[in-house]
Amino acid sequence: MRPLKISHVSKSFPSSHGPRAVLRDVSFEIPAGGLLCLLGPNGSGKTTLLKTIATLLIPEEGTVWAGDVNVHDHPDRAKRLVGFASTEDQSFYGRLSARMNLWFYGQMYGLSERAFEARLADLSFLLDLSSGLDRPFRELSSGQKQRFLLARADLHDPAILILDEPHQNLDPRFSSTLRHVIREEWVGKRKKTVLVSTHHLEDAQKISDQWVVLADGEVRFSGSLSQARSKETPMDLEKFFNTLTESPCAG
Amino acid sequence: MPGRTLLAFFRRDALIHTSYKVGFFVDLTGVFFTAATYYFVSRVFGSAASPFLDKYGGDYFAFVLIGVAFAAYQNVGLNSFSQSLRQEQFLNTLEPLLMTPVNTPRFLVGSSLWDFLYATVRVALYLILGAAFFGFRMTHARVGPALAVLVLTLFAFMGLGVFAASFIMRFKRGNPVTWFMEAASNLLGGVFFPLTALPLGLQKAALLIPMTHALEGLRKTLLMGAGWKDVSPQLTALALFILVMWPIGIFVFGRALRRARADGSLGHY
Repeated sequence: MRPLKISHVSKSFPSSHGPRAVLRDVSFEIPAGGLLCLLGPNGSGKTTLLKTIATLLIPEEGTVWAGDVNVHDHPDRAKRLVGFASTEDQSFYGRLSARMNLWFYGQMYGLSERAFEARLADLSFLLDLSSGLDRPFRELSSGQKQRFLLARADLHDPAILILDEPHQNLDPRFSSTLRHVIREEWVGKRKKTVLVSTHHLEDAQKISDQWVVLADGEVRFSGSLSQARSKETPMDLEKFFNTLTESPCAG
Repeated sequence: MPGRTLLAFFRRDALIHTSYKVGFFVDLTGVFFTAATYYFVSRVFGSAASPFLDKYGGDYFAFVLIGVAFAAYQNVGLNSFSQSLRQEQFLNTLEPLLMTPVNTPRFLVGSSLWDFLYATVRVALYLILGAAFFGFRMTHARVGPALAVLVLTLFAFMGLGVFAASFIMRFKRGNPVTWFMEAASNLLGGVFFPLTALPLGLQKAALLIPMTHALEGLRKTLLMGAGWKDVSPQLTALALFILVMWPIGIFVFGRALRRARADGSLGHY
């Protein structure tokens, strides 16, 4: 079990008008075995933050801790602790079977054949992969590709899972299954620390009560949603979210 | 385990490459047509070239076949890493791959293994077809020294390729290293004509290109039966290229990778 701590992370990208700040002094923490939803409108910096946690981006300031590992000082150790499912559902080799794709990444993580088969059986059961396993990846539906994206993130059994918009392309039934897998299996039984990003309020509400709301690269809200909502008379969720993300003074 | 990782890259690339069956067949068929073209060129102009070819046995077809066949290794060495990198960027598979604990040298070597094996098949095919249809002979060939030259040639070209790949990582398109080395090798490397046909100044400049030493060593061992001692200058020169280019290549590529992580352009193409 590993906590995930994001401490004063700032990140900007070069643009034609000079550096464009995408993350500004972002800090929050997920306790070991915790589950947190990262919410924010499009362009709020969610994916940049997740890629920074996943070692794909280097922040200008601040640190990310996966347990006691500073992920940017020790990326090789961090990569074994963190699994990242991006929104790129095409990020596989289309001419290879889905099984071969996962086998390849398993080898990259140093899994033995036996360990790979065990992980594949486990993930196949959790994410219902069996029907697509032996088909060329390019022939799978968007929903199936999304499941393999999630499977790849958990293939090396990391202590921390970072899921970027995991419900995209999924039908309502599997969306519900995935919520169950996240809450009951990954967090509940296996004690993984999970960070889920979404811009869908309903999804977020069903996944976790612990939210971080990001807007313009800043944390606008961090804490328990139910507590925040109980402070005032019945607050409409959408209104609450809009207030947080529209006005820099809100939250 | 490094071996397993490299094997996984190889298996992945072999499966992808051979899944394009028509392309695979057409590519190998092209070897025959290239060999045939040089055979007929040598029939027309071969006698004019003979005065320059004494130390290679005097046969222009044998000279150029070795040049063209083994020049493929330079092509692979220079382009394989860059092309793999660009392909990974294009398929969006670069980020997931860099999320795994595979280190840079293993990633670069692994993603070019299939290309080198395939280039070897093409080289073998050149020599076999040349022998079967166009009278090419290697009766004096010394296999040991030839293999030594070949292995050092591969690693020398790979070192250049790693350096070239950093330009793709940084600038996505436009690769001055590959462009320069290919142009310089065609002119100065002795692929199509012997160095003695060049002015003295260019002959000296040619010594700064690995292709020159690679082809000289291969022709000496394969055509003239040269032994270890005879090719020691070529082996030394190629080893020096490896010792210089690999550390520079890995360092520059590491910098380019870090820069891409900093400015968020890792997956851009």
